[in-house]
Amino acid sequence: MDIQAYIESGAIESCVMGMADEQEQALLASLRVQYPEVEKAFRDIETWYAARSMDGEIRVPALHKEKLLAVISSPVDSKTESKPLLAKEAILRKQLKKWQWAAAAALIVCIASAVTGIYYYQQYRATRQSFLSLLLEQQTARNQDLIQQTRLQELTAQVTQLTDTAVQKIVLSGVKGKEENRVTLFWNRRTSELMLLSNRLPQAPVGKQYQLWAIVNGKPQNAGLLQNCNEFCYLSTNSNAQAFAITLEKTGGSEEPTLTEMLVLGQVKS
Amino acid sequence: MKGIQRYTEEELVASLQSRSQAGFSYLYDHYAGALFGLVRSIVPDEVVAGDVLQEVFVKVWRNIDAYDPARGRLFTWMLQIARSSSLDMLRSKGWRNSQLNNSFDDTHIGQAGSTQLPLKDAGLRKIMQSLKTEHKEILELSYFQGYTQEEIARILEMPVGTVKTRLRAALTLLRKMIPG
Repeated sequence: MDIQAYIESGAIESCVMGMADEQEQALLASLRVQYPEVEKAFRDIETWYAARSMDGEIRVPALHKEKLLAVISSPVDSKTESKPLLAKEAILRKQLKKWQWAAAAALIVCIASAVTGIYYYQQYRATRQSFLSLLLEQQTARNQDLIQQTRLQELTAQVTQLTDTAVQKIVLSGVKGKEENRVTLFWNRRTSELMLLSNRLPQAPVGKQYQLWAIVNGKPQNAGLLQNCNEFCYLSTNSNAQAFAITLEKTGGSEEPTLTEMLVLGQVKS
Repeated sequence: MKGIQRYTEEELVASLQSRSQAGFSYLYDHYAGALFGLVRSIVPDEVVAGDVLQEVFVKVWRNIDAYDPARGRLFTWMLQIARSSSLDMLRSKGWRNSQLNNSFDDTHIGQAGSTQLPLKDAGLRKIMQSLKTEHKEILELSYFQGYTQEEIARILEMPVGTVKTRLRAALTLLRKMIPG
């Protein structure tokens, strides 16, 4: 065997660097014993390989040493393989990390859907509130409309009443000292109905009421109390009155008018 | 090597065999960087490479009695353990699965490109870059990916003898590039 050719072939390098098969390893072991030049070449190559590996030195995070010292200090049988290998642990840890990611993602989805749910629930509540308000407004508008319609009907009826040819208008003016008062009467001579419009009449004091008198041949006849009046007070008299007057009387009215308390008086034009 | 060498190799081996933590600490301080460089040239993931390195030192610690100085230097033995542990990691099911799913991994997202490729700018890989493609290719498959000569013969569709010759030629050239 040409030992020099063997030394220069690269066979020793392939053994030192772990790329040779068992047969090649066995041959080298044998040649190292037999030939000092092979042994020397082997040692040189080892030195070269060590130097090149040292050239490739990189920084190791300090934490690794601490962890390692903790591992070798633990009272584990040095020969047992029961303890999982650290690299496998690393992979498990990576996989666990993935699970953590998945869990975090799931949690985010849950929170997002909860937030969306709350948002839509609030939107629903707001919309429902708006809908109820609209419904209420609509109802109010309808009621207003009914009121207006009723009012219109009333007014139409009043206009009809007032424009009846049998209706006579009598203006009751304030008596001396009470000239600011004024009342208008619309007297339907055919139906005896009286519609009283209080143009200017003060609010009756508590415990008092206004009373209308029909004056027939100089004598006053009770023509009713001014109560439940809206625009008009509705009264009636079947007398043939020549004049009308209003006095302030006690609540419930009087048999005879209190002349000192007369506010307005008006003649019926014949 | 770093610091003042306080141990000869025989002393260091004896210290480790007597379960001396000081000896182990010295071993780590002097060889961890180089071993990590080798592991990182094979295992692309920095975190996994760190765990492989740890595994290497645990194996050295647990198997120091099996170390035979007649067969080679302590460092050569450790380099062989580091290389085979790294290759074992690349072949492990866990690693393969983690590579399939690696798009979900924060390390990959955060540091893509920087930690996910084997180191090419240090050690043997660096010298290897100046070799011809056929030599680079065979060293990559054999040393860094751990394929046997028979497997390489199948991959490259050439006789095993040619693989052996080409590998040895590549190693001889590699050694001539930076002698000593």
